[in-house]
Amino acid sequence: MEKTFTKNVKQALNNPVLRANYRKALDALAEKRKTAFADISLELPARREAAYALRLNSLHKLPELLSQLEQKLNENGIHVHWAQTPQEANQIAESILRQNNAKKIIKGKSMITEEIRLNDYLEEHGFNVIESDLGEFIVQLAGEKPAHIVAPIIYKNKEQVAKLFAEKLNFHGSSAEELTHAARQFLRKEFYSADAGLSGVNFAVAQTGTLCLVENEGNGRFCTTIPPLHIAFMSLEKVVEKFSDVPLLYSMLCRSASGQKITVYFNMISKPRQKDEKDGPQHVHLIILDNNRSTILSDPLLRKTLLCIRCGACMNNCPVYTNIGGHAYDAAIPGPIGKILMPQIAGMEKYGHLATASSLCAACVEVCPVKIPITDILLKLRAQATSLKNLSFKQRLYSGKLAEKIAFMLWAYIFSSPLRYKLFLKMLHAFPALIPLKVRFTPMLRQWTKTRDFPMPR
Amino acid sequence: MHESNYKRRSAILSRVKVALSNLDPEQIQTQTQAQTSKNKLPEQARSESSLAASFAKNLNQQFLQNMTGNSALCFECQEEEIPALLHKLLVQEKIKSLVLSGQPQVEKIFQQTLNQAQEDTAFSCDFFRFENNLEELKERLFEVAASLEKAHSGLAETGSLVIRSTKETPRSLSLIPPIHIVLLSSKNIYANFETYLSASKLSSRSSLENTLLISGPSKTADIELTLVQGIHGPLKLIVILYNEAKKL
Ligand code: SF4
Repeated sequence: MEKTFTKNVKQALNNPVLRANYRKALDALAEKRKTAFADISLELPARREAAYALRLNSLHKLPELLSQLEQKLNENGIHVHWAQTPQEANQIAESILRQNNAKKIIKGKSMITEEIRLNDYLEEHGFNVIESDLGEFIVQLAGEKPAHIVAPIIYKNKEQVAKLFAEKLNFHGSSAEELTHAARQFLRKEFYSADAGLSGVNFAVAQTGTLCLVENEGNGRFCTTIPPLHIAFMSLEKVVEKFSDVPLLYSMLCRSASGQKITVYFNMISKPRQKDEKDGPQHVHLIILDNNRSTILSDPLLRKTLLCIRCGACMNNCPVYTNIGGHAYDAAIPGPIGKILMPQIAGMEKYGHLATASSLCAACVEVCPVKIPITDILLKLRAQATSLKNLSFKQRLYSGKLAEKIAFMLWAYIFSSPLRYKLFLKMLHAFPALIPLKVRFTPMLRQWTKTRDFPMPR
Repeated sequence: MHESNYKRRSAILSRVKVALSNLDPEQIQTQTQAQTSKNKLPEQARSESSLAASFAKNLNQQFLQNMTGNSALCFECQEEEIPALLHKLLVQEKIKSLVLSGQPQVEKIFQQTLNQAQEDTAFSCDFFRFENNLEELKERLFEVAASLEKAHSGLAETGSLVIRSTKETPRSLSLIPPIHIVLLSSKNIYANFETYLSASKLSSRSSLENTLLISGPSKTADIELTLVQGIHGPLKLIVILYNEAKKL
């Protein structure tokens, strides 16, 4: 995995189109986020604090909230299933689909289904799965993977999309508008005829048994409204205690993700079609996934990884992500949050190296709406990965582990202040001989400095 | 299947319980923090709402401004003026077919619109009510040009409509037709989502119907972050904010 990662990084850094696509989009997103908070800039610290406290409170009450959620959903007529592993989640979904004789499945954007690789599983088992979020639809057409949790095709420019549509849909057009409307025409037919709709969940309210879904396109609504069967997926930390917790978290999510005060749709799904209702799915199921999260919860620091509301702001503001792009991580969730989440849910052996791919500049920590101490968690994971404990001081010194640690501490010190960082850059320019020294300590940077200058702090 | 679901459930919940028994020094502190911040937020919202009540006009203006900012086409009028406005809109937007919600008020207003339009010989608009199940109406719903319904309420701060799904206002009415026309009484505008929640006593309710916030026509910026209006949901959202006629 680590080798692939290094290779991916090298390739990404040597691809100027790719880097230009990312840079342009991410700068715009970071800028939008800033303006989105302008009207409440004075309240921002208090709101982040409150959002953090709300999320942490629900984590600490998880067992009771999950039981309450299940009970409420049952009362509302929504079936609840529990899955410990991705494999179990996929199998449960498969069996629900088979029971309902569903073959054609339309899907809304959901990171958890990426995490469990649901599409691959269902397709291997003979189902036809169609992504309906515009970005995910394009990713699927291209046979690729999403590169960002909010903007899946951030790595593509519109010429590349136009070429893809010409090849796969026999549609010829070039503007974003034409391409978007072509996708609308194509997908309407699929919404019309799908046997089942799949979706994720942004927040699940224990108090009322309500599944909240945030979106702009309306495809999430189609998936959860038109087909006779709706299956929702959530990881267990998505539950919140009360409905009154929702407005703040929703607002923080919108503003941080895309710089909007509010998204076009906020869907509060509470029940399948009722006796006197004319539409809505007859059957609604929720699959709640653990996938090692119950282990993550046992450490008070690592636990905070699960506060995440998946806004993507940490990626948009990350100098490493901006330069290597989402695909280099080869993970369902890339960027700073991916670096701390993936090793913990999918194993250190597979993803431990991601914990080293950071300059610890803490830009992510600054923007995170729920104040996840991403860099602290990274350092802890790094320490686990290098398992310093087993070595004597001398061994550590000679094995380079201690040197690595010191180097990282230095890095953390330099990167944690824009002023220090600027001074450091100046120093590097004045004394280029220093460069090999620092490069020796951070393997990532060796790749990085080969092809580019250090990014200026935003 | 059922039994194994129960087993998996117990396994997960007991692991979570054990994991959380490792207390966080911050835990007690944050719990009280969560309490105070939660108390603080609705309170702030409440004061905003009482303030807002005395400036109802401002609330309407704020709603219209933000709804327009969300790319909806907005109109403000008196209740009795709706039929004439609707007639004008149907002509202007070249709407030749319409699906109506089952709300009596919508029915009445649309009848008045048709009566008014009688003199307009060039005018024609097919319509049907959403009174059968989706399965029976699906084909027509995917072809109809526009829908008309009355929203439950509006949120000024974000320019949002609150739509509750009921037997009279099915979920797909605001989803499938390319143009979505919504009536909203100015009496039903709240300052924001928080005030709406406390006014609808949601905190003491244990269940609710499917509810939706709509803040503009559907949109996407997936291709090069270029904003395009109209992807899967309606291409256009038309909001008619009206002041209720005074009852004699
Ligand atoms: S870690 Fe924070 S900034 Fe990153 S996606 Fe999660 S909530 Fe957003």
